[in-house]
Amino acid sequence: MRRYLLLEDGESFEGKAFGSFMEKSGELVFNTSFTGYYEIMTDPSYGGQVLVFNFPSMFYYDFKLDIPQGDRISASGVVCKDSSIPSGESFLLIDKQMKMQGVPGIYGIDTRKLVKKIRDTGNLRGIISNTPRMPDQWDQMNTENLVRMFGTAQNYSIERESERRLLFVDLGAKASLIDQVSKMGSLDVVNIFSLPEHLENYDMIFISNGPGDPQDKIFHELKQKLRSTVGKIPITGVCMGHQILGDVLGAGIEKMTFGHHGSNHAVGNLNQSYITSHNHNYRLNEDSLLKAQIPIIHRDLNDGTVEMISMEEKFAMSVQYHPEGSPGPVNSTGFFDRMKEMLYVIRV
Amino acid sequence: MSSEFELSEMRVLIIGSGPVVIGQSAEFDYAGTQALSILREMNVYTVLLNSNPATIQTDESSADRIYIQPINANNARRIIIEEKITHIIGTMGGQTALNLLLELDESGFLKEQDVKVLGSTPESIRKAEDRTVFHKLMENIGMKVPWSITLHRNSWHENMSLIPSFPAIMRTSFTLGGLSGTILNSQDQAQNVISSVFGSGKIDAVEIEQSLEGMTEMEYEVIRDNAGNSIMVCNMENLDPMGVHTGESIVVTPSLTIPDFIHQKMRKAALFIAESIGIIGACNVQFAIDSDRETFYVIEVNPRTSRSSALASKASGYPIAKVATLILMGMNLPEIRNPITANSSAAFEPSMDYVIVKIPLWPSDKFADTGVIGVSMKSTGEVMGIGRSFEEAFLKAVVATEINFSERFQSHMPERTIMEKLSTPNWNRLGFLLQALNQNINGKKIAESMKWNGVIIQRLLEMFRILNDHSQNPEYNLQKMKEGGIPDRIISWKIGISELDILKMRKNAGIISCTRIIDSSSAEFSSRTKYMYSTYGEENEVGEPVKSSILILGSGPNRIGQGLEFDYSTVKAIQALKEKGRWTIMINSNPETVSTDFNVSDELYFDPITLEYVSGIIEQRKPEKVIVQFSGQTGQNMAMDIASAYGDQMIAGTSAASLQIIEDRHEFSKFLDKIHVGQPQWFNANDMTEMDKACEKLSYNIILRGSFVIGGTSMFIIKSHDEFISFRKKLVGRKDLFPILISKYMKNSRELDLDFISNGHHMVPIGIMEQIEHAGIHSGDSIAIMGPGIPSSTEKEAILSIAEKLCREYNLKGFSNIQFMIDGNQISVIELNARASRTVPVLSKWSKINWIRYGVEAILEGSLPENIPEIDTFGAKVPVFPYNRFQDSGFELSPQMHSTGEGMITAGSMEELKDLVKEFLSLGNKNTIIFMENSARFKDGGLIREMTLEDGIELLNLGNNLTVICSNYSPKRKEVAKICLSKKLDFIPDVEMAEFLNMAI
Repeated sequence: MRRYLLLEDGESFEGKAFGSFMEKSGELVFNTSFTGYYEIMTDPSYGGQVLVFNFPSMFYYDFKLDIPQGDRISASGVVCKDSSIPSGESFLLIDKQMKMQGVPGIYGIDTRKLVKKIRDTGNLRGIISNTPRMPDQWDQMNTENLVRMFGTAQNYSIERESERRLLFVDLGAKASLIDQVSKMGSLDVVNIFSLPEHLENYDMIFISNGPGDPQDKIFHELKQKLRSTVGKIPITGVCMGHQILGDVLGAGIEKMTFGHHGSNHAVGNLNQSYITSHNHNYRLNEDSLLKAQIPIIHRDLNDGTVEMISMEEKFAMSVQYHPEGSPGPVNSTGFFDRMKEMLYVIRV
Repeated sequence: MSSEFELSEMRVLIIGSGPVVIGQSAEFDYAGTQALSILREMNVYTVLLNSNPATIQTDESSADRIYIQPINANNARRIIIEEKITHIIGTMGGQTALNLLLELDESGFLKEQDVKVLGSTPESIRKAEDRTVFHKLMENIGMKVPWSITLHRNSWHENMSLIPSFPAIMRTSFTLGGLSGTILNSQDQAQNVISSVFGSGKIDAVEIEQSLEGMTEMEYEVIRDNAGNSIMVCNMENLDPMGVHTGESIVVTPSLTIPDFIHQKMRKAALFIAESIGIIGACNVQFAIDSDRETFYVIEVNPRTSRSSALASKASGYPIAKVATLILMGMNLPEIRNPITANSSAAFEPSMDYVIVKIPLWPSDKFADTGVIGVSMKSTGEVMGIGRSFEEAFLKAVVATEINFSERFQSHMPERTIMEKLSTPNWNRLGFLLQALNQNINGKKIAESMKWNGVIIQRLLEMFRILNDHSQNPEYNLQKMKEGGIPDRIISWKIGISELDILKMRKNAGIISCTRIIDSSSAEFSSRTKYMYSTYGEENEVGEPVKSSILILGSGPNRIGQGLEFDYSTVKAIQALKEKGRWTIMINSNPETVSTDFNVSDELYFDPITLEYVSGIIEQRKPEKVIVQFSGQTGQNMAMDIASAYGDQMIAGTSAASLQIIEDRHEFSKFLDKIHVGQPQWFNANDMTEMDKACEKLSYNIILRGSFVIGGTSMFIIKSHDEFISFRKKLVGRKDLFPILISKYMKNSRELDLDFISNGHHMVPIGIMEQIEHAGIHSGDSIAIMGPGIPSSTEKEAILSIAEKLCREYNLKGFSNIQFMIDGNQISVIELNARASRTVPVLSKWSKINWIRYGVEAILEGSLPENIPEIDTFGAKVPVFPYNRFQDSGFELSPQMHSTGEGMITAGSMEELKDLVKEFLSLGNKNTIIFMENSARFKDGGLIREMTLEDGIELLNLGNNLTVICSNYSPKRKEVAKICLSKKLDFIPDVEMAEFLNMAI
């Protein structure tokens, strides 16, 4: 069956249909990994976005061997190149899953052309449509809906045999991230709509990754509470959590042209480099960090984007990249080690 | 950069890899050339030791000082002292260089001379190379390794019971291309094999290891810097399972069937292993992973650039040897600029939005071998196919092999037969896979039989369904087949229409290929590099064509007779064209070469060298001319098609029409008679009767040449009437195999090789080489010498005058090569090749004249050089043979070429030359035994004993330190060669060579 990917700027791509018959729109983002397609599709940070795979020859291995990062496919739509989608079992299952969860897919289009377009224009919206007719209006990204959909609906706890207790603020966290952080102590996993009254009772606050715009008003209450807590107990964060923490410390957030989405980004400084997994469209503004005197630890070695900050005197530290990998490198970048040190060595 | 490196005071010796042998080929020319170019950019004084004249790295412009000499410790020591070497690099020249580096280090010489090793230290290298040490280290850092035990010469018998399980694999340390790996299946077989290994006397210990046969073999290419930062450039998945050497396996990159979670575990392990060993620079880590994708074993680490790193560089666009060299010079990844985007750092891991498939190429047409492939390497080269899907990449690689698979598409075979053919890894297996896919045999059955991943086969079957569904009506369905990624040549095999006709059909339908850029970032960042490949149905990225550009055809995969030497000419031609301000476009399919380094040409197309992709470039880039002269036979075969599609003027140099007449042996022979140029007596036989008559007239020995292939060859030497009768049987009822050209095979004539350049009116000789072996032995297999007085001035005059005649008749423009036969006063022509020959690089290195530039001027401008000086030094070109790879080959020198590569030797006098040749061949033994046609002779301390061949064989079996000379006509030749091989005795393959070296008795 034919299907169309229509872009906000009027361009359209014709391809073939898989997944749900529903028409879904969203900001187009690409991912350059050649493995972990199911991890990527289930990564909650892709909520509300139409996901484009750069690697053109997919579905060769059983996706059940991948580690799902959420309990559903998060992306609102999936775009890939493969001109002949296989009849293999693994693909049929994923096709079925996308049908059941209302996620449309389109394949057989020139994804490299599309990626270059996203790279050059940035912030491009598109719709996976069953007709070539452009929509009359484009949905705006609704961060509140996304956080409600991908953050935990109910607060819950993960108990560990540990003296330490962390508050895990779930903005739409990847399963692997919860898994990694829970290795450090017991967790109270909460959504932003029912934050505890007093944050100071915890040994550390951790803010997760998640979909949407970190500047959205929905995060006001969280930021407010963090502002009154910062310096009292350690606060750490990953991805959107990093942006929110930066904001709390006095830095500004800015939107990038097309963001970082892949498993091959080097971060570091002039001597050290680590290959890390990235998935972000926003970042902390560098000038504002300098102004607020927030030390920059790591940058992206390609474009200089700030990838790690740490204010020792305020026990605040966060990374823009994904130290948990999945998909992507699992080699230590020192982030989780440092977190552990903050939890166990530093007594506030 | 660290301060210990005072660049201006550094004098760096780089060790090359020597003659091309199986397992060590052009990929090290690529690595070494990159390393040298980096050092020269840094203004570091560079010295190169490499005996291989066919390489780019031994070109004058590559290093400050070049020693084209045998790669051994003596020469290295002398050079280190003479050149006051301060640093040495031994990780860019394969196992040969690495072994020499270790030897120099172990002897204490490097320390003595205060020479520092750049990159991984010898201690680190030993950790990776010594299997026992390596296994222990891996276990210590928590890696799974196959169990392994060592058996020693004097105690192996008692310890046989220590082998825990079979199958197991037996290896000796420090192997090249997996040479001495043997699979042991049972206690009994193990007993036999091990006993014969220790019997040979040169090996003291063997290692026996758990066999991981059947698992998926994975490779990870790692770069690690001085600060401990490391990256994985790319990973590769071998489609053939463990048990097939990675050099023999069809490989896909990036991996397709490995989930992220386990891929990341292996990646992490690879980086950790590099760290544990202490790699500085590049290395390659091999794993075996089980079918559940859960457990993986570490197989080995190559602590140097390797064949795989050349492939990985071309596959990903990330120049591993270049970055590794900068690291060797003290820099670290974050401070090295990204070589592709040129504006960020080299600390990144390339991502691909295409798929790469590598297919090895075997000399199946040269050796009477079973063709079974396994843990030891037999392939001479490889091709790389790039596509926007695995299937497209696979089929592009299939056509890039330049092997004709049409029969696989035209014939039908019983399923059972195909399955049988698929069940053993064999160098003909690819053809039967195509047959199975074409016949739409059940994918699960194919996969099980080949032990390949089922999904891979399923995908290929889906591709073939597109082909089968649409080939009935090609004109209407061309678009679908092309967008599916099926190359024209496959369609041509399928429907029996020529590629030229398919091209016309496509042009009518407006289906032209489009160009995609390889940027190492999947389009995430824009790239300035014009490194490209062709596909269909997508956007064209390449921009407006550049005016008056020249398209140069490469020579494709390395094979016997067409290898590295053509790449040398190609690269030099590009350099010459660039100097003249021309925009150069290169097409080639061989990842091992320097010509496929994207910095060499202005535009590089990595595509099969077939009419389809060449025409795609012509359509899009509108070159002024196409140069086919440096492409070996590949370009010659295509010239006529290019001319018919784009006009005669499109071919630069000698015209396509001339090439066609020259290639037609019958036409050429007729012409030689017409102009009264001598040639061996010949007949053209159109049927059996004519053949019988001709053979009677000529009397034996004779050479038969046909346009068909039997047993891998199209040229047959018939030495007796009996042989003729048995050959004749094969032709009964096969009128399609005629005409056959029959000529006299002259046993005792000399052969001269002339290379020249010309402009259609005049010619200038590049050089004349005299073969040491008799005419009739392929010039590639013969030692050849050049220098003052070779040949005599009368002979020289005579052959030049013949060349002049041919030059005018065929309007030869650019390079040509003529082979002459001298029988007394009679000079005759054996063959004319109107293209750059295999010997142009040797002659260029010997004369130190840039002949390629002169040739390019002759091609494009019609000008010829004047006042070329006489060369007053002597040179020899010495071939090397892959005897030890093909157990059942007869080791006979013949008109069929068997050598894989060559070394060059230069000297001030003939005597010195002979001594150096002996040194090159490491002929050290004093006692000599010579096998003649009817008897053998043995020289023992000056005493010469005459004996029968049987006695000679017996003596061979007893003795250990012998130089064995064997006449090409000895009936015991095969037996003698086998004994020499198993006992590692010095072996001189013919009497002429022994005489030349003053070693015959």
